[in-house]
Amino acid sequence: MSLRVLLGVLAAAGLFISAYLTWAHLSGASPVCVGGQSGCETVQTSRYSEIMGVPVAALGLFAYAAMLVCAVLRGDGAAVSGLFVALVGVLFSAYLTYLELFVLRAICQWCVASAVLVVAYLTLGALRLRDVGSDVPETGDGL
Amino acid sequence: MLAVQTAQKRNVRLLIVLAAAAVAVAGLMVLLSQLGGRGGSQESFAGVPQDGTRLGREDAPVTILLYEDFQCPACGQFARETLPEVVERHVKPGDVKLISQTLAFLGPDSIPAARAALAAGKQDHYWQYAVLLFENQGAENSGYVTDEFLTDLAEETEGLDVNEWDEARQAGFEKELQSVQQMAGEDNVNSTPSLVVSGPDGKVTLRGAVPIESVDRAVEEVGG
Repeated sequence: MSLRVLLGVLAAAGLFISAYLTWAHLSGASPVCVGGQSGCETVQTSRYSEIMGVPVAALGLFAYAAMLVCAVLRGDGAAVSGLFVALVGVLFSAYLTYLELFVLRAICQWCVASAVLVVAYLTLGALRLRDVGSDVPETGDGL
Repeated sequence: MLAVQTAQKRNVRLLIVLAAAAVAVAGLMVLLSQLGGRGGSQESFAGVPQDGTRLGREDAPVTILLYEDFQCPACGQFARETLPEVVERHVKPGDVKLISQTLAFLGPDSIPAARAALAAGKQDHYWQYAVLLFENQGAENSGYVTDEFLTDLAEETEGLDVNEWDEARQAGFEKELQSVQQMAGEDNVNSTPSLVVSGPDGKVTLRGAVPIESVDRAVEEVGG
């Protein structure tokens, strides 16, 4: 399976999670939290759940959509752009995870899943860039 | 060979620029996230008379007793979504006075939070402090209500003398908390948030994080 397909799958999974969380945030619904904990609700209703009035989940939605487009497109530009968005995503997810663990002391499994996805995308995105930089055909088996 | 080295150098440079730009963008987002909302909601209480846990004019015809626990997520939701509208539509024009009835029944973290808010009430800054408690609500009984957490909020409360607040906080407020507990029993309140709306034409009890429309109707019904 090519790296681009894997990147596409990761971005699509992230898109699904962030779409669900954006919907939950805007409609005021409590996200389904495994184990019936209230962690997701605490995180989703906290003051950190929006930036200048924009839900953080919606920012994730845009980021994953961009990552998906970068995975679909070929070439250096798409590989570099995808890596850039993923790096911003990883750094911001690290901050959000810090807030969950040490400030809100509440864990939202959806957010953890998204953090894992974006880290995986960054790792694979770096491998893709290496392939683009070398003579290995980008659509070939990168793994 | 030289061409490969040049290409590699270019790639390294590109990666450094990419990483620096990503750090800058993420840093900006963190900054905006930290600034966002901080102290913003306190503005809705500007110019509204306060006395202890009361918000609004003492002679307002309608009284809303707001039973709440600072750890309760639905109370947080009410404070964030409905309360600013209640203040705007009913308290500021002088029709309603709100009295916060602080219950501390959800667990150990509720008690220091309630004491801290009551201590802010000694300087008539109860509502500003309470809104910060709700905006920064963590998971129930996770131990998030630390001394540092409460002091940080006191420092964020506009116009609050933090030293005076800290001294007042030592009082414990056992009598106040017990008296609210007793009143909750008399008002048949067994969940939070509960709003007991009373006026010249009667009394209505609203339960849960009700929308503003429910409060509007209740105020009208009791003669506001």
